Amino acid sequence: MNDFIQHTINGLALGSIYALVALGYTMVFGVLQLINFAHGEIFMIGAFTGLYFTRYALPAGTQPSIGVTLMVVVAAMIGSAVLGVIIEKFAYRPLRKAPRINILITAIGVSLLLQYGGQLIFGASPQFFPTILPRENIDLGGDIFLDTNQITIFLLSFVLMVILQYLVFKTQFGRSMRAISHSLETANVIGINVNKVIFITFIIGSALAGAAGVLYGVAYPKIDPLLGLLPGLKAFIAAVLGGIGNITGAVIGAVLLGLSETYVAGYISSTYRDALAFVILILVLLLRPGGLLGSKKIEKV
Amino acid sequence: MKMNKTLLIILAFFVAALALNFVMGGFAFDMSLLMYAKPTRWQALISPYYYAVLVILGINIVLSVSLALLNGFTGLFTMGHAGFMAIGAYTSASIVMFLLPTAPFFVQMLVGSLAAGTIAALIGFLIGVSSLRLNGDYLGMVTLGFSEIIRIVLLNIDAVGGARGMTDIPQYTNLGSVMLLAVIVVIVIKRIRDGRLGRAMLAIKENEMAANMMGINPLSIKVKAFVISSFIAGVAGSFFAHSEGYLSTQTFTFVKSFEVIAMNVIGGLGSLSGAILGAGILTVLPEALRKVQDITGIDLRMIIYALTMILIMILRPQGLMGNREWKWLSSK
Repeated sequence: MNDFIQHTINGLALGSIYALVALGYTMVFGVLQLINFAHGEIFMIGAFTGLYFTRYALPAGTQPSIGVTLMVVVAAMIGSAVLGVIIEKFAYRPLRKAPRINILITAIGVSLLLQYGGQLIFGASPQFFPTILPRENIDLGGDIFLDTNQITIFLLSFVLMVILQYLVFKTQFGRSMRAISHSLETANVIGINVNKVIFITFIIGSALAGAAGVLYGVAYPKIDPLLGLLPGLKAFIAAVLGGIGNITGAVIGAVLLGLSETYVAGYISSTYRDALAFVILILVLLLRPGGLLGSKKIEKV
Repeated sequence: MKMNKTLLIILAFFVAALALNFVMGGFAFDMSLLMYAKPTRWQALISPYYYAVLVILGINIVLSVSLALLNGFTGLFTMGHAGFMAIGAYTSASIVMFLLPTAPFFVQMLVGSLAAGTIAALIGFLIGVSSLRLNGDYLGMVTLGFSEIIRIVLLNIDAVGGARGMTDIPQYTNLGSVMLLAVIVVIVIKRIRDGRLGRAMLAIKENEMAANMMGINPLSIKVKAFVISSFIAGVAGSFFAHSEGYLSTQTFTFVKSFEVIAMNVIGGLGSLSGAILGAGILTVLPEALRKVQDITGIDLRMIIYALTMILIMILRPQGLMGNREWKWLSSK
């Protein structure tokens, strides 16, 4: 039982990181119907921005603290957002009217470019993410531990998701974004500046991925330029599980995926952990293609 | 069923390919060949480096053309070609190494690659039947998922080396047999495209519902496309396994699938000539860029390769060939 609670805590922490990445996937898919394969790399760049910010921008001998963590997270969010915007402007915007497979190929190309470009710039070997948070294990009794990293992950992702919820459902931008995800043409016709909204969507989605990158670095402090690949795919699967295009669904899907991965790793075998996400993907798409919270679409003649 | 005829043609050409392989190696057919050394005749003519590149080119053409049948002609966007290739490669290597370690090499090759194709086709059939209700991106994702699962399962089978990879696989793929296989596959795919099956596929790609109204059973055609394509991908995997002599599951990640898709798209989706051209470009380009790497001392190949993909998509989205075909491959 204690094991189970411990796995649940770890799973929730992993799920929160997936959720932040999945939100970017689902938002971009909502407005552009595009699987942004480069999103995992935006996440990776977030982690590296955090690393270099801590190493070079902060004065030497800075003690780990909550304040430092927040600064690093903000820096990473800015770094990722800038990258996301550049990708949108130079790779996706010229293809707005192209067939979807072309945009998908471009996304894959951007993803490869960032992976190998990252190896060129950051070096291919893993680097250690600096300690930016005082680490302490809190004993909850009975061999169950909650460390400060996990608390930070929970709190930070919760706050970011609340902000996102506010942006999407309470502001003019959110209204426009939802209109576009309903129908891009109609939104255009009724005077919504589609390009501007897509631009802001990329900023928000990428910033969330950047924050997730730092949290990932804090939790698993060994980062390399290929680190975005698998978490990126899994976050995407989480978005599909929840119903792609659906913001609440992405969070639910990510938490479910994080939990089930931790359980599989804890109770069955860690080598099959990576296969689990794909099994979930296949089951969801075959049994309920719209995802848990998605709607069923019927093709009309 | 018309399928049987197609499969028979494939089989017949296949036997011919093996015969030719035998003959080509046969001039130098000495004890070293019996000991599974690579047939040496071709290598005397060109440098080993160009030889290796040409072998990869042949395998890539086979992969690209077989994917064109699914992606280009039937309009099924799949992202799992590496999975079929992996099944073929591992099946063939296991059969040759564990079941027939002492058989003559052409028996090994025949049994190995036919089994590779058959098992890949079987898995392709199962995946096809279970996922063909899906369309567009969703089908792509499911096939991507299946291919990753295949890879992870292979990674966990210790008998085929697991994470260490599979080593000391007999290397008997030679340039002659690979090129012949490529030619055969191109001819077979061209014949399928120009025949009844191909026209049904095209109809489904254009409008599935209308095709259904015309009396075409979309599911059956799609499953056929899946089976043929995965069979060929499996055979390509078998040739690949016996050319490298070493297999690792890392080769068959989704990056490999994307590479094959990129060949199709760069050449022009829906064009057979484009699939061949794309395979050629994406094989030769990284090799040509190896020189750049030597000068700069940094691995720039993958970066320039990725940039090429993006630029072609932005500047010429219909691919290099568009919908056109080279004369000898056009349907008229």
